[in-house]
Amino acid sequence: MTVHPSLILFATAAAVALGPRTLRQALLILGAAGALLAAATLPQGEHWSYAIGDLPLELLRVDALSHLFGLIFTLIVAIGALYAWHVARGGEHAATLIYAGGALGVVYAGDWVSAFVWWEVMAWASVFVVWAGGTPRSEAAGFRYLFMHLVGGGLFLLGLAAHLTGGGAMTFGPFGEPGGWAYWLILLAVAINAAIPPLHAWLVDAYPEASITGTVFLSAFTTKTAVYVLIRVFPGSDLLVWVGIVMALYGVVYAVLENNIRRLLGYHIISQVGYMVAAVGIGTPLALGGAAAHAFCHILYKALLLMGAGAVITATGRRKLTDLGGIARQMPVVVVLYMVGAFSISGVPLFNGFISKSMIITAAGDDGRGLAELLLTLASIGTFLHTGLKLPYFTFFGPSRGLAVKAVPRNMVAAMGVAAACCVGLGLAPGWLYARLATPVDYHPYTLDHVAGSLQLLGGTALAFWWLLGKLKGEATESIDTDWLYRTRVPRAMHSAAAMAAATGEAAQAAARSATKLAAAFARDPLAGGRWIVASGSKATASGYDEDRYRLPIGVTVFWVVLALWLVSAAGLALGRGLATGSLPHPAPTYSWPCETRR
Amino acid sequence: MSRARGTLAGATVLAATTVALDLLAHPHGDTWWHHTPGFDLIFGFVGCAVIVIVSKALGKAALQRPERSAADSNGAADPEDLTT
Amino acid sequence: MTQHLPILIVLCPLAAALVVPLVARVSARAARALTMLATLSSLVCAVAALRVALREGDWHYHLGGWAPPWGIEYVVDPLGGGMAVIVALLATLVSLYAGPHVRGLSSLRGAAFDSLFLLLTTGLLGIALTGDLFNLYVFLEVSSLAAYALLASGGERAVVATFRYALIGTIAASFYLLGLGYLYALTGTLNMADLAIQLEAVPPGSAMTVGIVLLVVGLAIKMAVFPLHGWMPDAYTYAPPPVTMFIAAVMSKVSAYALIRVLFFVLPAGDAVETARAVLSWVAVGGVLAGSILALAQTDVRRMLVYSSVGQMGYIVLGLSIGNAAALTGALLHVVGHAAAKGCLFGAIGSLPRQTVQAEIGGLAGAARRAPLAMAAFTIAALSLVGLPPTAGFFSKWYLLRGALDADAWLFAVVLLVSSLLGAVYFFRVLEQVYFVPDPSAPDTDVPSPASPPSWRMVVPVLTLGAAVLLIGLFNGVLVSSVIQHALPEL
Repeated sequence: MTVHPSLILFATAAAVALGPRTLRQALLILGAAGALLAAATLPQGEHWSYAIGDLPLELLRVDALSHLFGLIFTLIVAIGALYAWHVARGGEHAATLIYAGGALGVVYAGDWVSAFVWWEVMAWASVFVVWAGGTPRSEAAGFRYLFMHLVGGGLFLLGLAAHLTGGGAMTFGPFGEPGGWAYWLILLAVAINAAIPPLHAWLVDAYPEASITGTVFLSAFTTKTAVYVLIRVFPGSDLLVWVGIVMALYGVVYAVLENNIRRLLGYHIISQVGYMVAAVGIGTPLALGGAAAHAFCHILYKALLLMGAGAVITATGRRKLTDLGGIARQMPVVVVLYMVGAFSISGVPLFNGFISKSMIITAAGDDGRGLAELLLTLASIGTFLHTGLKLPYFTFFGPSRGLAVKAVPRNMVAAMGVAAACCVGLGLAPGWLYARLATPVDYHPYTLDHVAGSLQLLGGTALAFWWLLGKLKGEATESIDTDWLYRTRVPRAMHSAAAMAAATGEAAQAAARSATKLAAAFARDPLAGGRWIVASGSKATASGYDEDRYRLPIGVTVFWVVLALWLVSAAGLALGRGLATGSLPHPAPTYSWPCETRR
Repeated sequence: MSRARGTLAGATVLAATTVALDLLAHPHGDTWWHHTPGFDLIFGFVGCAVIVIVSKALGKAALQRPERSAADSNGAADPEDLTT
Repeated sequence: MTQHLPILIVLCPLAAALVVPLVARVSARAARALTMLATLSSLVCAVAALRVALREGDWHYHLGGWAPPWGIEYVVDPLGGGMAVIVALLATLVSLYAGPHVRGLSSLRGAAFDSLFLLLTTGLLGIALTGDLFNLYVFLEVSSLAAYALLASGGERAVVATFRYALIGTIAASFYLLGLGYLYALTGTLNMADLAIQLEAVPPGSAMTVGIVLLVVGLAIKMAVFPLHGWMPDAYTYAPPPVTMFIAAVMSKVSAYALIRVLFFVLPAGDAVETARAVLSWVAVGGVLAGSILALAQTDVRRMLVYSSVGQMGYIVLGLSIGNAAALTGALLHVVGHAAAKGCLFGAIGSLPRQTVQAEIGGLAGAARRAPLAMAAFTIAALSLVGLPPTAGFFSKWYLLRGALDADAWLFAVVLLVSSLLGAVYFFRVLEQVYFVPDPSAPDTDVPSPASPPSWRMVVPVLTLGAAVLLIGLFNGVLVSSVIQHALPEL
């Protein structure tokens, strides 16, 4: 029996939010495991079609790509649920599950409308996940996140409507011909979700403000769903190659300057997604396979890294590099597991990052894009620098500040363990992942050439790190990113526009009020007003209208009545064709009644 | 030997090993750097240094500014930021 | 008996309205039960009549056996029948919802409330079902007068607000009557179907133009189309919760229905109607934007919801004015979805116990713990008004978008999306207060809230409407293909 995994997650969300508190944890794990099982057992080629009016919808389409993404999404839900086992609020669980269900909906959608519907569900559910962070900063960040994602959703909707109105195909797949309103609008919308600079600021703004457990979910879905859409719809676009490279380096540069550990990891999400975007742009089968594989691996190791950062914050209450240091002895397991994630993201051989990132870089080289290959390697250097060297050194090793370290809840460590095991497992047996890619690729990562090259790269980076150690200390600063624009300049402009509009409205109201006053005064005593106009300068009588003085003789009234009648009749006769002809009731109806009273 | 010297010696040995492996390996790819042994080692070192120096320079020049407040998460709002 | 179904739909609440005050002298509970029974039977009859109409074609019922055009006829077609079902369903739910409110009144006032409520229902059902334009005016006045009385029962501010509404509403009804008078003078008939045929033969002239203008303006005032909406915020905000829930959900929709009837089924397609629709489209754009912007500025939740209604009515008018199949489908789907959503929103707000007359947004802090089910329904309805899937509001917005793009009206499409964004801001602001700001009177979030939860009589209708919003969205295909498509006029 095939079940859409999203349905399982939605049912679990409802049960956890509205059901009894005691069953919450059991329901959570049951639901996550059920979804994983459902995703793993969905047969290839399964289709669920459903028609609404003239729209043929395909709610479920299982092919190699959607199967792969469905698998990793449900796996990370299970890991995240384990990590969040101790969270008491059912609402946060419900939000994360609906969010994950929406992402799965997009992945399995076979037509544009379904994809869009789940895309929007993801957007509003994730806002609640950000808000679950509970601090005033989470509130503010959540609103900005909401706004960005709804703008993206609006662009997607407009592009989608334009596509369908222009006769485009309903199937969720590449456009017939690139270019045109629909293409660019949807690409822009996907770019927002993929956090492509300059539209990326929401990610580094909101992810650090969500709860410890929420951020793990957030990191997995929005950006990777966008990558999925890119792989499906926009493969082989030259523009994306350069966009991806810029992304990869942008994230690395900002990460150098970053002090907050979760924000630093957020910039690395942007950097790694840049690899995926560049790979989609390259478009060869090896590159597309690399993008999908990289997404798969990235979800695992990024979650592991964020789980580690979350464990540090839970244990010490500190989230900044300038406040941390020397806690390795007090949480050795966390350190080891974190380093597994760090080695994975850096592409150290035997870990899963190596098997996917090298695919992309090799694909770039094979496609004749030498500069791209070099720049992506450069970004890789930066990644190892931060996540593999700088962050662990200043967080775990390095001079101790005598911090008090609480115990980390065991479920968090267990979740990290599961993720770490997956990272290592994939690294040791890449064939498992390669077999599940959309197009079979003949790629062997463990050649002497690749391994030696990687070890040299990492070694050189480590040497430079050691040499520049002093310069790399965290500083208590913040970086200005592109959201500066819509946080300061744009609201200011809108405020002045609103103030101007309000002032205009006020002026119009004041003018209307004085006009009304004038009219009222005139109506109260017209003759006084009239006299004032005629003999200007004299004031109106203080006592108002004196009826005895101004009463009209009756003859004047009769004259006015006769004159008015004469005028109206003349006008009516001259102009009133509409009034005069065809206006009398018909003697009898000239139609036949459609039907008699029934029964 | 002091610790630093020991580390340096160990690092040199490792570096030499990897370069030797590079010489043994079949180069994959057409560009000149694929055929240069030890290229990645130098690229790693230089690249890392470049990233750090350039980023720090950019930060000092334009991007960085002091933190809004000393408090960890409930910081006072930036007076310029109209969205908090 | 079943051959009289159309008139029974209207007779049940009317008869009950006259009998309830007498029954209330004997037993207040019996009077309440009678009210609920009357609305329920009206609903059952409406559903049955609609099913017959869908199966066998439009049902023309001649009142008293008198043949039109001199006799009055009632027409149950998919459009009118569907409208009647919506009104009757909301009336049934609100009659349950009003229980706690009526019990708090003295027996005389309680009986008066129920009686007036049933009269209001009668009026609205009559508008939906009648096939005679003058009969529509009669029911329009019946419903308006009952509405004035009900709205004014909310206290001092309500009386003043309702007086203003009464003034403007009477002007609106008079415009309608005057416009109707012109059309009657031109053709000699008041029956809708007959008028449609007769008006084809009349050459366009000043009388017809004036008649159309007066009709449209009169109905537009009743619908609270921007900028003729000024009476609405005060009138709806200060009324008792059950009254606001019913009237905000249904009254302007029924006026919109009347406008659809007049524009598409009675008036001949021609320059006058085209111009009217063009003017309406720009008015609608203004309404959509103004409603959303003004809603942003409000601090009282109920006023915010009313201004949101101004914007939502703008969507419906936009659909009417674009006039192609997709846009009209969107407008009609929006009528259904918005009725359910607005009723749910006002019902949820009304069910929360309040200390003050004002319902400040800040006062909703922590409401999710005090009334979790009602707030869950509120959330779904709010998402629908923002236009987020999978709720009804998304699908009506989708059809409206398709309609706008089919007609090459890109500006309207952009306006629709911008207003969704604005709606998101003011609704999510409220949702944030409800879910994430702790209740100042009960800050400990690990124990259930000490405040007494709302009565089940209030929660059940709110939940039903919230579920309806979701179901209408998920199954909008069924609704569109079986009812709405058949309700569309020939274009």
